[in-house]
Amino acid sequence: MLYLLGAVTLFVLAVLGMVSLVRLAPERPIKAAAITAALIGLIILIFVTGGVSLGDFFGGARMDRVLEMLGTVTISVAVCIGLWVVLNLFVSQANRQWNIFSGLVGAVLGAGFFGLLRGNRSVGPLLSDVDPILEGIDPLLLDEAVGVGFLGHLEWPLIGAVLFGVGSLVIKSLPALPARLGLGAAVGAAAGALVATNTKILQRPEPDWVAIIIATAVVGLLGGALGLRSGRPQRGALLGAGLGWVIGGYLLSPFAVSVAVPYISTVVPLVLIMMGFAWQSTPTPRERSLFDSRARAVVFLGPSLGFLLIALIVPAIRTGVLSFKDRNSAEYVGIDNYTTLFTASDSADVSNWTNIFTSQLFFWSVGLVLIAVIVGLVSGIRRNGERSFDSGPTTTGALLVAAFLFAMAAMSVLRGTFFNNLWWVITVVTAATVLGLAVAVLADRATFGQNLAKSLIFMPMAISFVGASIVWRLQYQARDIRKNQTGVLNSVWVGLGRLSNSGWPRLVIIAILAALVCWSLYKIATRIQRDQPFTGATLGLFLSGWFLYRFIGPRLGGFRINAQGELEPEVVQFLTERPFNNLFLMVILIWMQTGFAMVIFSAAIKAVPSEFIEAAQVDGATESQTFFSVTLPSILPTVGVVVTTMIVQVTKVYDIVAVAGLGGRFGNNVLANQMFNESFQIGDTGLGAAVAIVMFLVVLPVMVYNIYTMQKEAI
Amino acid sequence: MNKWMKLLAALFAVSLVAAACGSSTASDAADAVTDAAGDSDALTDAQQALEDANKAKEEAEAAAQAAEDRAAAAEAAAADSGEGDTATALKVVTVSGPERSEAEAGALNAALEEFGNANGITIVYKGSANWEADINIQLEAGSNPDISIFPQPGKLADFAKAGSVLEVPAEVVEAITPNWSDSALAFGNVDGTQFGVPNKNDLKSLVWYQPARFEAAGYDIPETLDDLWALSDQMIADGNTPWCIGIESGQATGWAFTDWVEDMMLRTTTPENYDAWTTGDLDFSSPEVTAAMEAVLEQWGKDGAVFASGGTIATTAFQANGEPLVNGDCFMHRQASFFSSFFPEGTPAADGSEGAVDVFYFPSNTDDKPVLGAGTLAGAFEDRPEVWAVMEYFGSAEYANARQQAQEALLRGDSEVQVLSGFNTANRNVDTDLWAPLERSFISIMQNAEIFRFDGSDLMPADVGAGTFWSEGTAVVNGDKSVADAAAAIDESWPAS
Repeated sequence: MLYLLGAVTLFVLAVLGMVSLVRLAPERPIKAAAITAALIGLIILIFVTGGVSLGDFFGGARMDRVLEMLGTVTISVAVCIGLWVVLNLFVSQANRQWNIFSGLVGAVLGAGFFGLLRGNRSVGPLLSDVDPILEGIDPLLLDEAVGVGFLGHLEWPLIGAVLFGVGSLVIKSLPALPARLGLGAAVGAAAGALVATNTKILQRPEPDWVAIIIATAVVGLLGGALGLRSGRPQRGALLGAGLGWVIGGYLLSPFAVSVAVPYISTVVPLVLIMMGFAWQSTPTPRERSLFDSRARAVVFLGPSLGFLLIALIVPAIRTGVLSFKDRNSAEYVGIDNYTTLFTASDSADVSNWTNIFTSQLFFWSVGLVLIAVIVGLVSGIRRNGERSFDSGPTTTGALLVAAFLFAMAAMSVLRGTFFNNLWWVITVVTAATVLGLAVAVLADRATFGQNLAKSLIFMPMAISFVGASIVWRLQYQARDIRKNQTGVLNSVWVGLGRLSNSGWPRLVIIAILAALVCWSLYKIATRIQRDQPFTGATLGLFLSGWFLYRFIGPRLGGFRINAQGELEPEVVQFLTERPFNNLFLMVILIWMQTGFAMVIFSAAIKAVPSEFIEAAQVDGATESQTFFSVTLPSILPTVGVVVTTMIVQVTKVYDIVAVAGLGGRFGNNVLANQMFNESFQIGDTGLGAAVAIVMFLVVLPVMVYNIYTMQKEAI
Repeated sequence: MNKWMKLLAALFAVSLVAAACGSSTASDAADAVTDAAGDSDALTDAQQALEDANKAKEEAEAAAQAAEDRAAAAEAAAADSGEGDTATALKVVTVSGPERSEAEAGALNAALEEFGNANGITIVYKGSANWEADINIQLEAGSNPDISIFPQPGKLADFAKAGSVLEVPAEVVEAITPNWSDSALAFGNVDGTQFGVPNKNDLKSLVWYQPARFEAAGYDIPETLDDLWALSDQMIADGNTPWCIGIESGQATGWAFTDWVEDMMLRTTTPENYDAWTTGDLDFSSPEVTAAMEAVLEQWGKDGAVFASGGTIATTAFQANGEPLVNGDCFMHRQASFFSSFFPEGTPAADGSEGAVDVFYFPSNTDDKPVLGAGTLAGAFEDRPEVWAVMEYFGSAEYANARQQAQEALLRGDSEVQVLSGFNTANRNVDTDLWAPLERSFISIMQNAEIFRFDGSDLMPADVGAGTFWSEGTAVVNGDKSVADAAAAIDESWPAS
């Protein structure tokens, strides 16, 4: 109870806080800050007075995790800042003292190179006198088995740093070219010998001379050609030859167990590379400053580009490659995975397509089309006095709704993962855009509570997909009919069933509904008399009339009469009853995305020049005319951006189906869930990757359009 | 400045020599130094460096000589003292496996350490979260452990056929045979050859119930399958709900149904048919399999037979069956041994108290008492006496006892009361007093089973065992598909090769 109270208070405070911040933040930062501080104080006060000590709340394991997290974040941020500062200092050295800069670069690269070799267990430890190969110990367990210790992890990087660092420093200090080359070769030879003698038996290649010569020649020439562009052909050729030798000696040569120590494959390329490095004398000041400015760009852009490369580009390419391989990523299977995906019966099933034309939704859409035609003709005759068709908002709206309903009818009949995804895109994008736009327009007019309403609608955006799915799953939940329903929707539904089968409470409801119907009829009659519109009253009449009919006639709600003639509740399995369980899942995403659409549209509408609106009003345009003819065209580019962003998001929907959709087992599978299932449940990485690529290709054009529009907007 | 640099060059040459110590590059480096120090006034420094290098080389050679001598001496000592002496040679056996929780890996290590200390072997166990992927990579790279613990027989069979897992020597098989039933040993048997040694087991053929409520209602524990169905009908007639069933499990929805079907396969047809079914030789569409599925659905479909707390079986989470059983919404729940942790906190297990839950064997009409279960197996990659000693130990009662003691102690902590360890075994010679009463009955069911079969869906290819068998099974349970249609769909999804 206490927690509930606290939670409710917190929620209200959070809403208030958001409202006040939205209202105050831009103009009065100090006041906003003060309010925020007061709010935090209040929250703490509630905890303290509520008897929930902060220690209890934050105590124990949770606090440890929070602290651990904070520690990690702090360290990461500190390391990033530190790296950035160091790198800048590093580059500063280039301009001032080239020798020291070279030494430092050599040390870092050397430490990295040797550390990489050791880290990949390509070379053995230097300090331990236990040879894992001879002793038959798994090298991964070696540290535990023989106790290499802390220094054991550092020995290789340290040696690499000293060897290459001091080597580079000295090389760059020597003026004579032969001396530099000689020392470079010596450093390369020493490093190569050190690596070669310690290379583990399994990592030793059998030199394939043809491959080595070809690779060295090709890459060497390539390097020379590249070097020619910057006027350093010898250096480029040497570096290229060294790299080529490595490629030929390691990548293109076979690995055979226990061959001779690989001096040839290791020493020669390192000598070549170090000589290439040693070739260039100290650059001129002009070159240095040029290097300086280029290096700064790398320092600034490098980290993000590096992350993009590691986290996005490399995985994307790898996924593409995997999609052409078999389930164990072992052999290439051509386009087999794609054919499997597109021919599987659960991907796209159109066998029941004729049912589209017998579904209720289809009849509704046909009815709406008829209404649109009639309204168009009637108002055309009324307005123009002759036979013409008026395509005003009413007709267009009715036609659009009819199209939407027809899409629903089609999607509920065409089954399969692809159609489900399409259904998601159509429904969620349409509903969230329309609702977001409606809220933005209507809330704009509100004199009171505008920010409160907007905050409430925007709030779901702050909830994670999994969190929202769990919340909604609880709402949709059904329980055994012998128990009380705990899900909100089912308890209302079953409650209605009880009510419409009860005694006098039902009569009371019927009386209220009858009164409502009468009142609506009266309202309509008076409006007609005064020649005023009566949309709201019609809607009220329709709704209350329908309820009245259900309460008097066939009864309403979740109930059934069982074999013994007793009344028993009947629940709706919102999450498993096909095909509309899909729609109930979409509601979750609509709930989350409406806020996003609303915020963007709200900003766009506020940016429409008020002169336009005023001019339209002066010309005598009605509210809806102003909206459809002035506001909407002005914000059309924004609508495009919102729609495309949402298409991309909805196509990738996964969490909701996985959590609330019970894993997509009930005719509600979508592509992302299938990708997860194939890759991680069934273990078919090839098929999983193929699904991922298909999703990527579907999203790609929308994405490109989106970026294109946004860039155009920015200009 | 120049001179200082030259001095540094000379010093650096020395360090080069030191870095390449032991390799034959000392002279190379020194030659390079001669080149580097082209000016005449640096020559003396370079000569000095050369001398240093030579000295270092001599020292290194001397050290190498000494090491060789030591090794020779050690060899001689080993030869003198004979093969039995383990003190001079370092015997290391590495073991890997998927178990890595503190209690499991800790107990495993403790049991291995005990054995290692007694026999002079250093045994290291390392659990891995990605065991399945890791072992492939390790084998490919040649960095595999000596022994690995396989979570299921399929993988062991693959490795055995590929030749990487070695056949268990006859004397080891002989030593462990008295401890295990033939069918428990058969998990590690590939085409008649023993490749694996059982390590731990779990069982699934269990029905959870509350003895006190059975007693109060006057129900007896059924001895045969027919008795069980009769009891179920009796309960319905009495106005009670016999079963709690729910098969929802997120992405894995449906597995609880497949367990039922597997158990029913063992009871309605022969074990040979079961084996043929798991290997794909017997279709899902065959009368044997569809009959087993129909038998399950028949019992589930009886009016009033099932309490599904989520409204329908397909939407009830498998975890959500513990509470209704304790609350009295149903009388029985068929689920594996791990289910003990899904009862409301504080529910006593098999201690004879009022609200305690207990298990009885999911009965069979035959006397061979078939049991559906699972088990991990140890397989060896290296052929060394100490490796086979550890393998033999895995199949021994001493191992099971030692591990149980360690695991129970780790989980119990400071408490006085015996707790469930989660480590169960089909080993017939263990000291069952070491286990808590509930687990004691698990073990006795497994010990008495003449037929012990591994969870079929784990043996089938993942496309079926973790794919269509689950999804089509769910569709059948939810009434979206007929048994025939679902069976045909599963057969179609069976991988071709």
